[in-house]
Amino acid sequence: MAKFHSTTGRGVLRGLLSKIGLGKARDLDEIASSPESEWKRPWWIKTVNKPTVDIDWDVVERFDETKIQQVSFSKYVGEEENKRLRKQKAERTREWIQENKPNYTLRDRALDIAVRQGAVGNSFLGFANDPEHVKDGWGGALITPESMGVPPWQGTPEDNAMMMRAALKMFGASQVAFLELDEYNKKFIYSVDNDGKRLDFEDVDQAYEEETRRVIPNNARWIIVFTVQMSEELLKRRVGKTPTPFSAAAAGNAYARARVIFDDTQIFLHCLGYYGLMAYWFNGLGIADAFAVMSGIGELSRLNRVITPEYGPMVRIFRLVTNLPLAPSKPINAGIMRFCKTCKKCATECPSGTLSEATEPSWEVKGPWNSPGHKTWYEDSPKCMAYWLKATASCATCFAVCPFSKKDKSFMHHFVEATVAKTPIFNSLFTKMDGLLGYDIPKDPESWWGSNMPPYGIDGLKGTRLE
Amino acid sequence: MWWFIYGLLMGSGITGLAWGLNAANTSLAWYVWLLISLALLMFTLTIQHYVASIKEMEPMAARRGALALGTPGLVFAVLAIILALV
Repeated sequence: MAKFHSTTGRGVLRGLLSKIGLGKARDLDEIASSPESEWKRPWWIKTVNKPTVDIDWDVVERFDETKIQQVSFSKYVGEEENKRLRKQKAERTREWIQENKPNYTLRDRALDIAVRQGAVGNSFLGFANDPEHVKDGWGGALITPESMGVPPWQGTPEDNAMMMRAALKMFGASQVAFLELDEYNKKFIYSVDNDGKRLDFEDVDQAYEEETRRVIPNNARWIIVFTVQMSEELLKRRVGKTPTPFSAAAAGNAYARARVIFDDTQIFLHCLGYYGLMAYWFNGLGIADAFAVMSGIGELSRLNRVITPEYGPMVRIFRLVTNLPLAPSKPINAGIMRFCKTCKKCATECPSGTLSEATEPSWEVKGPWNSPGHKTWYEDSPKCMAYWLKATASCATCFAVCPFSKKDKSFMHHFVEATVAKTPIFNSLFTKMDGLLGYDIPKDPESWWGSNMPPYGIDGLKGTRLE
Repeated sequence: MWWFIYGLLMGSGITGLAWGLNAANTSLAWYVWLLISLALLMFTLTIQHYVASIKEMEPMAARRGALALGTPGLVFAVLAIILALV
């Protein structure tokens, strides 16, 4: 529990003062050991005990991941329709390449495919015990505490959290938060993984994998949640509401970079004498957005996905289970979910009608692809998937038009975000302003080739000391 | 660096105005100073938003934002001049 000594009154003044270091004085030893000490966040983000989304823990159960649209799409639309859509996608892709159709040419497709490739694969247990996989540039082997004749790395949960945050950011993560895998958060670990293997908890020291199941030891009591920033410039390159290989590539590249981060993190933990268990594929192991909400990465939104205060929805979220003790972070309130009630921009711009336009969130799920137990805007996922196949590129128009999808150079973004966090009365006005200023207008995909982007097309300095 | 130069220009401009008024043995009403301050604030915000939006690769937001912020700034400036001359 943070110990704050308030030196000023409440409200915006306190926020402004705290920004320059005068608002709240915290115990110095606490500052040094706090897992948040290396995570500089905007002053208007409030940490809270209960997330802004209502959760009915009696209803939440471990979800069978094979029910998600990526796995069971054919079940939801019928096998015939599934085959027809996939055939149509393949034909259209080929035709458009042959026609040299602008924004869908051979080079555009090549970009989308190439950015998705990672240097390594995904593995629940990691590659630390694979001698072919693990060697440094000079052929050196891994070290472990055992091989070095020392005990596993010992640190307080706070020190470990700071260490892991620094390491993961070095590996390429944008935000890093932590969560205790208690009886509640355990409900967000899938009961069945994407490939049909059961995910079981057992009283064993080491994780293992069998033909039909993956076993998580009960001593794995912490979760590392991290985000990988997507290139907003790439994601906004669409034609009207229609996605292109450019906008699709933004998500694909974040997944590819996550592979490297997973691998590095698993090796790092292995060298320290611990283990890290990742999803055997990107959306596996557990519900990423649930962990992100509970750990304070962001708030749940109308997208039924997380919007972060720093990057909006322009991130991909990942999780890793570990036995390294970590100080958990808390949920946040930055007024984001409240903003979504009146904004509705993602839903009205969604070309497939997947997202809900209802003002208030609901407990009612739209289908078996939704995991119940939280009050949100449940989406009609198969419509989304069907549209991806028709458009021949994965769609992210909802992300692109979100008013939180912004860079952070103009003072106006900070002004709006701070106001949204404090009061809802200007929310409708801000949504209108967003359109009037032209932020939701698609960017010309082809112009991307001459746009001279930074590495990975992202601003990696946000919230860091180098900003 | 550019903001430093901007600050120098603003500081010397205001100081020059105060000296000029003093030399001419005249003064401005408080509401004229208020209008001048508001005009300068709006112009500063306009410049910040315009430059930042260009850096953000949002030229339309730069132009429209400059119009939205610069227009009231211009109105304040014109009002200040009129009231100062009356």
